[in-house]
Amino acid sequence: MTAQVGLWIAIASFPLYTVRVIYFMLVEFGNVEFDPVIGAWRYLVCLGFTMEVGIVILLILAGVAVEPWWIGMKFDRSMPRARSGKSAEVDVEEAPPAYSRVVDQTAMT
Amino acid sequence: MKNPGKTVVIVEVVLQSIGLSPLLLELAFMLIRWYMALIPSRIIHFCFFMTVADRARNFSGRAVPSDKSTTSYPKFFEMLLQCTRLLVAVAVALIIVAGSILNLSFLKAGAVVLLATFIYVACIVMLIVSRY
Repeated sequence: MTAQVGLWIAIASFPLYTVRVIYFMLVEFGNVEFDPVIGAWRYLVCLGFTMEVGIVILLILAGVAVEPWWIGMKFDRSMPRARSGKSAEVDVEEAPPAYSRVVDQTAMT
Repeated sequence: MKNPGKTVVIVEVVLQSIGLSPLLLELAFMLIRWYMALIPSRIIHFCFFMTVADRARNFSGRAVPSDKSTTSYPKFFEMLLQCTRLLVAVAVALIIVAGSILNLSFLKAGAVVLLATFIYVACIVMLIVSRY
């Protein structure tokens, strides 16, 4: 799943947009029966409302593909462990890291 | 208010005409989000004329020292997509003025501007697809 999928999902909503815009043009310039106020409600439902629902669903899916919701989750933030379960004890028993030596040298001088 | 039914009809027509504009805005915003997610970090700048090696280096998530004299982050598509806000605002203003002064030509002008916005976004998408 990459961000490129989001672009293709957004492009997949273009036929629905086309139908919605054609219905909008019919409402504005067409016959009176396409008017949602005094015309037939079937045009509004089939050409307007259905297309809007499909467009919204596709855009939400595209947003999930572009910015995934599992980015900030725990298994994604977890860093790779040292070897196995006893990583904390191993860190205590090991030699101190290099920066402590550097700090001691600066304290001596 | 002599005829309240007439007012209701006017409001219905205006709202139905405005109903398409947020969909176009959301499409433009979605394309902007995709375009910003294309870049792993905002610090990275890459060439407009990008070779295959530059593309591989920049898209691997490694930071590249920014030299703005030679390289620049291309914001042309982003700027063009942001301009859809202006078109949608003009269309909404025309439709609201049409509902206010009861002028039908303003309403049709707003509808034509919304159609032009959709064609504009479609042309930008064709440009983006031709490049990426």
